[in-house]
Formats: sequence, structure tokens, C-alpha cells
Amino acid sequence: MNPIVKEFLVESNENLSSITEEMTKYEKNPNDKEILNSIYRTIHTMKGSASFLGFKKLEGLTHIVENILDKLRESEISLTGELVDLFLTSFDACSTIVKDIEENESEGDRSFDDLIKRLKNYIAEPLDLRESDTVIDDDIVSDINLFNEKIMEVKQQKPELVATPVQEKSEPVKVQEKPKSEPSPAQEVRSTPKPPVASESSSSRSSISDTIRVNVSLLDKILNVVGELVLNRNQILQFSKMNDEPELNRLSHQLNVITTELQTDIMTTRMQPVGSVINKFERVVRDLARGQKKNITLEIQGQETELDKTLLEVIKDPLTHLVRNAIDHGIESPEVRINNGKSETGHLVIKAYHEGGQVIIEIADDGNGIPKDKILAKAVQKGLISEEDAGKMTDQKVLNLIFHPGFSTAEQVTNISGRGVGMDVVKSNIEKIGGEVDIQSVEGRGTTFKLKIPLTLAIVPALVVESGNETFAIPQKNLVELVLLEDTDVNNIEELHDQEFYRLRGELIPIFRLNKSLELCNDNEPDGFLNIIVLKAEGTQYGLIVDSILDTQEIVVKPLSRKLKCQNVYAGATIMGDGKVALILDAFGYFNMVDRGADKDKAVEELHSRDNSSQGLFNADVQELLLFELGDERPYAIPLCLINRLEEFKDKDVEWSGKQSLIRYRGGAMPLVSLDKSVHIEGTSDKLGSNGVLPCIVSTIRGQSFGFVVKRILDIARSENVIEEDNVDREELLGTTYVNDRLVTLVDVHTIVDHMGLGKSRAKHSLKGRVLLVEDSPLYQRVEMDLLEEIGLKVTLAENGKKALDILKSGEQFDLIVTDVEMPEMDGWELSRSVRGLGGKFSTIPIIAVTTRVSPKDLNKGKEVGFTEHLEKLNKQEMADSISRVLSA
Amino acid sequence: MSEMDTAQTGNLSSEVVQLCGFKIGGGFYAVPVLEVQEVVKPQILTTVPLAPDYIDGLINLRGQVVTAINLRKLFHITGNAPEEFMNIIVRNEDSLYSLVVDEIMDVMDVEVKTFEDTPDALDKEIKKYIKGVYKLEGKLLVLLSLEKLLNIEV
Repeated sequence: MNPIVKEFLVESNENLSSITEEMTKYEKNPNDKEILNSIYRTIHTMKGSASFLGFKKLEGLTHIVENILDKLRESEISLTGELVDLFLTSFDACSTIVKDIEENESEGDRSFDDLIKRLKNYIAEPLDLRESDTVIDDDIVSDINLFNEKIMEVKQQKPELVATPVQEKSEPVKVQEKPKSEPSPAQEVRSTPKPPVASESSSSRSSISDTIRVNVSLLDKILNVVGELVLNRNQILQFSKMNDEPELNRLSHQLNVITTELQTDIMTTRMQPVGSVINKFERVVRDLARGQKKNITLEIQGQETELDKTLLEVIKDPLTHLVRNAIDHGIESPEVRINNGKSETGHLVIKAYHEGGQVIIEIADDGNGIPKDKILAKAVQKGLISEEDAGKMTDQKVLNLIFHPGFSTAEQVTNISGRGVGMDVVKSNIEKIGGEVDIQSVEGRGTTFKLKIPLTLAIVPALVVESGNETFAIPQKNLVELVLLEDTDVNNIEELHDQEFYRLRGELIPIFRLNKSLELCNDNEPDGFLNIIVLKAEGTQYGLIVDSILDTQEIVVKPLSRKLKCQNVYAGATIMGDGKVALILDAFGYFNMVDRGADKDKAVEELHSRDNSSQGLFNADVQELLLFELGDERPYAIPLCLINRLEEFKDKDVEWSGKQSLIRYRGGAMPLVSLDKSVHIEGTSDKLGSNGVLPCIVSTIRGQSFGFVVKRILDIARSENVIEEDNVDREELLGTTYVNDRLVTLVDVHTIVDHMGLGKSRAKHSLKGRVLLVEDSPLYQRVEMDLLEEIGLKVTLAENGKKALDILKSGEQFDLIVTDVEMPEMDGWELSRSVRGLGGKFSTIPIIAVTTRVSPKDLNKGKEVGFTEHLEKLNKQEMADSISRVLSA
Repeated sequence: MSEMDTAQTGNLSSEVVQLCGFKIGGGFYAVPVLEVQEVVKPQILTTVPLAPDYIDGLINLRGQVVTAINLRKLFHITGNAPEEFMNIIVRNEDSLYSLVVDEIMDVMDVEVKTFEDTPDALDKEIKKYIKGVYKLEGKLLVLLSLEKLLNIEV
């Protein structure tokens, strides 16, 4: 075939598809003359080329279309739906002709008389037609001249050929002026053309030469060759490492850099925006909607999302089918919609985006949804399922029946869909490329199809982690945050029904251990701290514990072979910098595997209620205690909230200053305190501990760190039992309580420190003010009072809300109220409500709630009753921060 | 048309197929040589947690991820695996697989007429993955079906 004809065909195909899109766009924005001009220019170019190459039919058709377009531009006629139909049909006819030329090198003997007749109806006066005819003929003459010039150029320089049709685009500029120049149109036309042609052609030529057409199979081949090159590079690198030849090293390093760059560039050449496929649906939707007298608006999102070219081709047909289905079965006619209380216009959304290493394409309509009972009836009737099974099927299973081969629910078979082939083909096509089809449908509200397309070559940013000696990549898309739990924080992990939970800012999220759930070894679990990766997938949040977090990287997603597809835990594999393969974790698939199912919500609730259990009872607070043994081998405890870290020091590292033992700790000297001696346990020596190792509880008391040396650290326990203050015989003890039916003595570290006379000038008096502390638990009274005094506040204590209210009513002045929530007589909620109810200054006095009740529900309630701040108990720093915040406000 | 010609002449002569033979345990197996992309030495493996035990893991073959299938384990062949082994790289649909075998034999020219359907005596663990056997002098060469081998539903 003549290369010029070939080029013309390729150009025309592209142009026709772009003006089809433009026409539907123009129909929506009839005021945007630029779109119209662009269509006009394209058609004009085509007409010129067709005439030059001797394609009479194409020329005739485009000629008439051009004339009508011109009238439209001059607003002599206005755009109607019928006219758009006609345009689109004409474009299709042009496509048909082009196709015929492609196949037979001639226009064939199809007749478009009918179409031309309909088109001619729009050209009112025949005289007008003649006139424009002559003008256009002139254009053609100039076109031919241009073509001849072009051909000359082509002979010298091939790539220039591409520029030919574009150059013609400048032509309409002069034609546009034709109608305005009433006296002598022809002259005007002749006088203007040259300069714009020259300038425009040069600019468009440069822009055209930016891109070239390349056969995809060639790209595939290049990609493979580059793969081989990479291998070769690796071998050379290895070889150069064994040889100490500087020149070889330098060269191989260069080779390394260049190869990597080449590889990435080749990868990206195959990516194309999804828009190249889904933008075509403008036309499909428009035509179908008109055909069925439905009002439908189409919204396209994320058309810039890139996908490998081959995949794009594969998903084109399935997508078209789904869009047609949505219009045909999904969206109702305007009358039905109005009857159903919906807006007259149906809405169709096509959305493309990345998720979890896949490209997701969603097709959502707000139509009638899929009637499940009809599906069931049909499935039973067709013998796909038994009647008995039908009753037992979940909604999702029922919906999935439509993917069954030979299933069609359309009550009326139309020419578009409902012929019994379709959904199964959609599904199998998508699955062939390793994708998935999900369906969601609410009867009366609409249907959403979700196509999950793997991105063979797509590049996604991912977090690289290690667990059980294996490396995994987790797509950043699923990443919410990273949490590093140190020491005592590790105990914030709670367990219920074999499921661990972590309290992330008051919200309980389930956590899973990657090494455990993947049955990996646990040799490398870090000591003393935990890496939690908080992930989200399809609306669920959960934590994932890994051994270490390595890096973030752009990874190339490679699909897993079919053999491993059943492993939904992985989204694919990637190749790391060192050449090793690493699996990519599918956040959602993983969750589905490890999730223990529906009881999770219940578990969360249970845990919440466990925190707040014995509500309304006396002393309902839960205390977390660190249990340890002293020289008398009895259990003692310190509230966990007072403890910073647990350490083990070596005997030989202990230094002495006078009678005080010290240890170098975090760049300073920390006093060591033997609790044995402090609480006067008899029979213990002056020696601190034994075996050369000192188990130590590091705690900050009154602004200074102390190491409390104990005999043995036992455990951490939660206790809801009351602390009895009455049965202790010395000041250094706070009281006794029961933990798991064992009597435990609580040590009062504050008093111990005070007695030692060591505490620095009783901390920083950074704040001033009077605070009313409302707290029923003696333990927390102590802890909070110390804290408040530490930061310089004067504290008045009330044991419950009622007493607090009495104190307030008595006229005593306070700058701040700090209150517990769970209290006898009157709880914190009620107190806050009452205080706010008093009005006057009481409506603005800061109230800080310090409580274990920090679920979102509680936080809301707190806002309602008028808490200024709502803090979780056990967090000294947060409390101090909050107080200074409200007082300075 | 020329294709038909060659096919016909092929039928006329005593037909020979080229097979890539290999050993696992004491047995001889083969796949058509045209289905083999290449044979490579052991590579660094990335295990796939939770995968069936006959999946040795994933290897990186020039930037392509290859799933290694251990035929010894798949066929339930007992006895110790040798320290040395080989990967036969084959392609199925869009994925690459490596068949992990004990030892590679040469490319063999085998006469088609020695082919027989699967004998009943064969171990049923192996039988489900084969096309048939070639009766050679002194030994039985089991022809594996990649189709069946790579589409095992676990």
C-alpha cells in the first residue's frame, strides 16, 4: 500500500475517534466553540486528504459534514440531539470507509446516499451550498499543493510525513473568515492563508516530532533484551568485585547506572492512561441513553491512572459490556425514576484508581440495583442451583450468580444486552489477566462493579519490611501510620479471645503478627520494642507487627503465577535491589485470612466494656500494676503509669557518691534506690540485688529519674480491686490490693523519694493556679495530686462529684477542675453537667476529664457534658501538657 | 500452504520427537524440548509462606519472577534429594515456572512409535500429571504434561 495512504488511514482512524469524543463533549458544552473548531479542523483536513488521494465517497461525506459544522459555527443552525446523532453516524460512516480502504485499498461499494440526504436537509439553501462548494474547492487546491510539497519533503526526509495532516489544520483559520468577508470572499481567502500556514506548521511540526509510533511487540522485545542486559550487568558487577581493577570497577559501575535507567525507562513506555479507553464511553453512554430515552450523565474520574497497554486492550470489551449493562438494566427510565423518588437523570460513574498494587476500575450506577429474588428464581428455573440451596445463599452469593455462564436476567432481550452471554465473559476475561470482578448492589439504589486489574508493570511506592527473615513489601496505599512501641508501651497490647488489640489513641484496632500468621520463624523478633504498621484496606484498620521496617521503595509489581493466585495474601512479587524476589503483601487479602470473622466487633465492644466494667460501682477504675518481688519474696507493686522503663544494670557499673549509689544512665547519673531498704524489709543486706545483675524499675518522680532496685520483676497485671489503705504499717507503702487472688502490697515511691531527701527542689513550678481534683481512687488521688503539685498547682481534693460540687458552691475559687469519670455518688459526666449548669464563671472554667473511658462514644459524650479536655488515665505527660494548655488559654 | 506440506512429509517418515529428559530419584522423565525455555543452575529462592509444600519459592530470572515447583515433592518421591539440582524453565500462559529436578539429561530424539498411553502400573501421584510413556531400551521415559502439571488445583 502507498505509504501516504497508510499514513492517512492511521491519522484518520485517530482523528475520527477523537472527534467522536469531542462531539459528545461539545453536546454537553455547546458554548465551547473551541471544541467545535477543533472538530471542524479535523474534518476539513480529512476532506482535503481524501480528495487528494482520490477517495470520492469520503470526500463527499466529509464535505457535507464540514458545511454543516460551518453553519453551526456561524450559529445559522443550532445543535440538537438529532444533529449530534447525525454527526456521530457520519463519523461512523467515515470509519467504515476508512476500514474498507484499509482492507481493500478502495472505498468499496457501500452507499451512504441515505445519510447524505439526511445531512443535506441541514443545508438550507442550495445556493449557499454551491457557494461554499467553490470556496472549499479552492481549499482543496491549496491542500493539494501542500500535499505535493509534503511529498517532496517526504522523499528527502521520511519522519516529516507525520506532519502532513497536522499542517492542514491551519487551513480552517482562513475558512473561518469567509462568511464575515461579505464582498469578495474568495479574495479574502486567498490573501490570508500563507502566513498562518507557515507559522503553525512549524510549531506543530516540532510538537509532532516529540512522539513516534512504535509497535508494542517491538517494545516487548526491547524489554526482554533489557532483561538479558540486566543479567549480564549483574554478572559483570560480580566479576568486577572479585577483581581489583580500578578501570573495570569504574566501567562496571557506569554500566550499572545506565542499565538501571534503561530498564526503568523501557518499563514506563508501555504505560498508558486508562482515559484512552474509558473516555470513549462518553459516546457509548450518550447513544444508548438516547436510544432508550433515558437521561444519563456520565462522570469519569481518574482517567490519568496508568495501566500497561496490553491490559488496557483486554479490559476494553469487559468495560464496555458493564457500561452497557448499567444503562440497559441498571438505570431506569425517567418516569420510573421519578416514581421511585429519584432524580430524573441517572448517574453513571466510571472511576479508576490505584489500590493495593492494583488498578481498580469502578462502574457505579444509581439505578435499580439487581433484584435478588429474580436472580434466584431464574437460577432455579435454569437449574443452576436447587431450590433448597436458594434459600441458604447469602446476598453476595446470589449476586455472583450473574457471572454464571448462560445467565441473563433481562426481562426483555434488547439489542444491547440480555442475550445470555456477557457477565461470564466479562469475568473470565478479567480473570484471564489475573484480575477480579466484584459486585455490590443495593436494590433500588444502584449497582457497583469493581474491576481489580493487576498492573503487570506498574510501579507503586511500598514500604519494605522484614519478618521472620523474609522481606515483604507493603503498598503505601494501605499504610496509615507506623507505631513504635517501646518497653512498657508493649503492654498496651491487650488480648481477648486469642485476638490481640492495640489501643491507638483510644481506638481499639486488632493487631496481627506477620511472622506468626505466615508461619515464619520468630528468631528475629526485636527485644523490648514492637513495630506496628497500621494498615487500612476496604474500610478496616488493623495493626501488623513486623520484626523491622527497612525502607520505602518504588517497586515494580509482578503478578504471581496462576499456581500462587489462590494465595490472596500476596498482591504479587517484586524484585529488590539485591536481585532477590520479595512478596508484596495484600493488605486486604491478608486481613481476610487472619481475621477471625464477625466476632471482632463484639470483641472490641467487650474489651471496651472490660475497661469500663463494674460501671457505677465503687472505685471502678482499672489499675495497671507492675508486680515485682523484694527480698522477702512477697509480691509488691508500683502503678504502671509511674514507670518509664525496666532495665537491668550490672553490679560492677554501680558507682557511689557518699552513701548514695548511682548509675550512668542516658547521659546522666541516676540514683539507685534499693526498695528493700526503703520499705525496711528485715534481713536484707546492704548489697543491692544479687548475681551481678540489678533488675531495676526506672521511674521519674518529681522531675527526676530514679532506679528502684528490686529482686525480681514478675509481671504486669490489671486490677479492678480496691486499694485498702488501712492495713499497712509504714508510710512507704500505699496500701494493699488483690491481684489474681493474691495479696499485693503497693509501694509509695513518692514518699520513698521524699524521705531520701533526694528529689530536686520539688520540680518545676512552671504553672500557677488552684485546681480542684475530683477522684475517688486513693491511688490516683496520690498520683494525680503529685503530678499537679509537681507542675506548681495548688490542689484541693474532692472524693466524688457531689463533694466537688459542694466545694464549688461554697465559693472557693479554682482555675481548673480535674475530674475522674467513674465515681460514686456523682460521676464525672454529671459533675460537668451540673458545673456548666451553674452558669457564670462556671460555664467557662476548664474541666479536664482524666479517665479510662476514652472510646469515641465516650469522647462524644464528654463534649456534650462540657469537658474542656478528655484524657486517658495513665498518661502523665499528656496530662501535664493538657493542663498547661488550658491554663494558658 | 507450505506448512501443510511439511506436516505431511513429517507424517510419512518415521517420526521423531525431541524431548528434554531429566531424572528425579531413580526415574526418567521428559518434557517436549520446545516447551523448555532454558535450564538454569540453582538460584536464590524466596519462599512463599503458606504455599503448598511442593512450591519451593520464587526466583528472579533476569527480572522475571519464576515459580519453582519441586517435582520430587509434587510426585511424593521419597528418598533424599541430592545436593545439586537443576531448574528447567518453562512458560505456561503468562507465567514462568521452574521445574526443580535432580539431574538434566541430554536432548533426546525419541521415536514416536515407542509412545504408549499411561500404563496402569504407574504411581497414581505421578499418573495425574503425565501424557504417556516412551518405552526405551532398558528404561521407561515418562512424558509429563505441562498443562496438567501447572494447573494443579491444590
